[in-house]
Amino acid sequence: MTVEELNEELHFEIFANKDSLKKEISTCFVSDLLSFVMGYGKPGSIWVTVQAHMNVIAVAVLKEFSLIIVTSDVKLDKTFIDKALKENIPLMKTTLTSYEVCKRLVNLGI
Amino acid sequence: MAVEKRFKVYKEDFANAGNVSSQIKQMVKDLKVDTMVLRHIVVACYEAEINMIIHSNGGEIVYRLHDKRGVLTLEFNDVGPGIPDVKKALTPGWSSASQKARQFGFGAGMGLANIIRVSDDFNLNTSEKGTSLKLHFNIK
Repeated sequence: MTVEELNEELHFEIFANKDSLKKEISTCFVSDLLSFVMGYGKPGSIWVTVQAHMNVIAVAVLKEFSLIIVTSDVKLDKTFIDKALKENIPLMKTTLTSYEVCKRLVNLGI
Repeated sequence: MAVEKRFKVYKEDFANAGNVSSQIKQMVKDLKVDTMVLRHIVVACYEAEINMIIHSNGGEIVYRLHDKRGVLTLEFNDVGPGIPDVKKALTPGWSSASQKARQFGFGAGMGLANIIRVSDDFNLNTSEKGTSLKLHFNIK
């Protein structure tokens, strides 16, 4: 499933360059602790987190993640969004909790 | 003869955290090493860079490629304050990260554990004057 196809199912607010919507999703990783993400996250993952700062983008780039979903209505400031767009990492934002997002992803076969 | 490049790292420079690792990632990518080896180098470099930013007074990362031997060495040398209890620091889950660092999601206490897991060789020396972490990766 691509980021674009996932977006058609989830309808979350999305910030993404056109070409990054074609990124394939392999799996999902849920954590708000960056060392766990660095240690165990897999390329092509969706990263579900409440963290929304520049280091999140750095980790997502280094780990080759396909998508970041920021949950629980955490505010995304402009510098964060701009950095994600510059690094071509799609971002989604939702009021749902990380748990609720994961339930939806599992139901979609991820 | 080795190819060497040096990068500065500054205390609590969270805004630039990961920038050096990103540059080193690109340099290693250009060597066309095995994908898994590249990923291991990236994880180790990032964790060590973050440790310098969170825990040290700043320092330098040294990238050294010994092409003929097929070995990449990464050195992380800081100017203090040193690691008071190395055994504790190597314990997964234990961290002395500041509140500021923890707000950014750091301080899980997994950094050194991750580094040891993905490096082919690991050497740590520390005193009040500074800490030197040397990692080796077989890239051929």
